[in-house]
Amino acid sequence: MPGDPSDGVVVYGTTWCAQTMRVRRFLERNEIAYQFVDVEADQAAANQVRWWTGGFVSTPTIYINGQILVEPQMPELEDALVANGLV
Amino acid sequence: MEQKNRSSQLSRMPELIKQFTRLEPQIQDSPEKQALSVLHAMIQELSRGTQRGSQPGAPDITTLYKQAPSMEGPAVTECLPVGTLAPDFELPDASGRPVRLSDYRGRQVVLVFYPLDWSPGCSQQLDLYQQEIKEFEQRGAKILGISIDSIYSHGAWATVRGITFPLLSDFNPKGAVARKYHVYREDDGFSDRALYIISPDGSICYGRVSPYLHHIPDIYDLFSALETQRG
Repeated sequence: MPGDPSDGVVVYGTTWCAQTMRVRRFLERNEIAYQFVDVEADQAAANQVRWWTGGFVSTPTIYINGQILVEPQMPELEDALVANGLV
Repeated sequence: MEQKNRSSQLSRMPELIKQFTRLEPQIQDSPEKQALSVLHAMIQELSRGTQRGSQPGAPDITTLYKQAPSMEGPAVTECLPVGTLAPDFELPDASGRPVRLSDYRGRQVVLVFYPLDWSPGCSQQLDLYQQEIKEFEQRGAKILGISIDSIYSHGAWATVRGITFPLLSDFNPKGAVARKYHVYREDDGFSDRALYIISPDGSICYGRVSPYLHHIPDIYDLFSALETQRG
């Protein structure tokens, strides 16, 4: 995925980030397929997130069909999912 | 016409972002790469502000924690062992009503020891549990949050965050219950971030202290433990 984005939803986060867990649980509850990438275990993914965010490994960073959300509030995530026809 | 052009330009945005994304591995680390990344982040934030609309006036109190000092550092405590009878306690909730652990005998209880109301990690941790409250209920578990904050702080914080499960005030004697559960940080005056699951018979069947204060326990591990204990 990093460097070769395709359509779909990718959640870049960690296993101990509460907001990452909120986003993952929200997607699962709404039956939205997504890929979870642990940025602590994937250096290339961490570099990708830094590239998007001005140098920070911000979590969660969410890629939705070519749209990037950096640490979004839940309403922002919902808006993006609606805009992409996923909700 | 102008509106149409704007829509047309915005419709190209996903493809432009994909192009931008693909470039990352092709550019060596350098100040120029950093500058491009910062510029992208600035555009992102401008776009975000436009989409959500600027709200002059009072700050959004629900996101104040984002500007608060971070709370980090390794854990200094260890949980009581599994199989131990959970120490009973009585603490007031945000309305001053006394709550005893033994009130919940016969069902699973998740004790959530957290450092402080209003802090970044605790705000996000309890937001997560509130979002998942039905999942806890479906697993037959009751959540009780415990910190050294006053009932007044608990009440205000719970209202701001929409927290509906009890927040208990381990205020006086300060940290007495956290001490009973071996999770009090004596040098800091608050508890480590720790979870216990108390089984229906009142014994400890799960205990975890987060390795770092800013690490929130994995919710998937917690759900798995609740399901295992429930059988």
